[in-house]
Amino acid sequence: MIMDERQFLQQLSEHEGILFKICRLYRDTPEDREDLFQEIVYQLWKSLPGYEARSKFSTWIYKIALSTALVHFRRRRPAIVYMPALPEVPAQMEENRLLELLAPLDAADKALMALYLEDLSYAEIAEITGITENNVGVRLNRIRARIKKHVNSTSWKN
Amino acid sequence: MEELKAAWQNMGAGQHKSPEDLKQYLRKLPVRRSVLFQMILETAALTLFLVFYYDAFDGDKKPLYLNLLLAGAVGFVILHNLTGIAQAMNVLKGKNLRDVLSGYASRLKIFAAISVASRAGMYICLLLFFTWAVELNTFKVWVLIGAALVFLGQMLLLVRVWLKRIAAADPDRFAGE
Repeated sequence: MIMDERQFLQQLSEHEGILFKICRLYRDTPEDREDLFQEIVYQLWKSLPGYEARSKFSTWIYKIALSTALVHFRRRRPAIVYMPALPEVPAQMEENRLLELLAPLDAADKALMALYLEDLSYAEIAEITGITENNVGVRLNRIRARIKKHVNSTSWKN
Repeated sequence: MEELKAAWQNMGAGQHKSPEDLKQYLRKLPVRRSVLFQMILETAALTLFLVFYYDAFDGDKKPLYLNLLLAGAVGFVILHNLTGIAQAMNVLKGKNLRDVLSGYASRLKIFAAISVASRAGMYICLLLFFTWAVELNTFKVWVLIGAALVFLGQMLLLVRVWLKRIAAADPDRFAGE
């Protein structure tokens, strides 16, 4: 698929949410997230000639973004910063709680959950990760069971 | 799970970068800044050493084979670093995550093995060069043991760093069952 720089940036701008989410999921500090964001944009741009319109643009972005997050070295361990408690807006609370639930998962399981939470089908998840659809189902069942243990039966936000 | 999906899909909704903002990312150097910076710094330091060691450390008073060994070993590390800098700019290839990790991990293993071996070779050549024709006494032996221990410590650190990086790119994390 031929796409010039302007078209690429336009498309990327429409799907940038994917990049924000992957950076938040895999990196703990704003500096590390910015580094990863930059690396993903670089990898997407350089990989663009290999993009075939057979798959959705968002699926292709997920594949490159997750690959980059998995191999990209972290700059540093997250610093522990003690701050006075600040009121969080509900959306931030939900985000933080979700990330807390996903944090104990290993990098591969995080990738599977990210794709599942994005509402991709098992076939699409299998295409991105390279494991069989059957295996996607088995692994997601395990991960969901693990997460449910930590979630209150009435509301996950508790 | 539906609530988790909703939270995931809404994540980062307030953040936005325009195509113009994103364009800036295409103009910057690719990241892995820490790794690149470390490689560039080490390459520059070794190049300086290679240029000045002959005069600074009396290369003319040592046998030619020792000079060749040292220059060869240091030069090899410099070349290897340069290929590392080029590799850091490489595009990840593969039709899925498993493929990408598999290709990346095998390239990383080869790079790591050469990195460790070439540095070990360089340290040995450095020790040979600086201890040639030196009459050893107890103090000098201890200095030599200290230097060897420092080199050994650095090698162990290097091996640990590479093993960690290789483990992080293990393609078996996406293996079928």
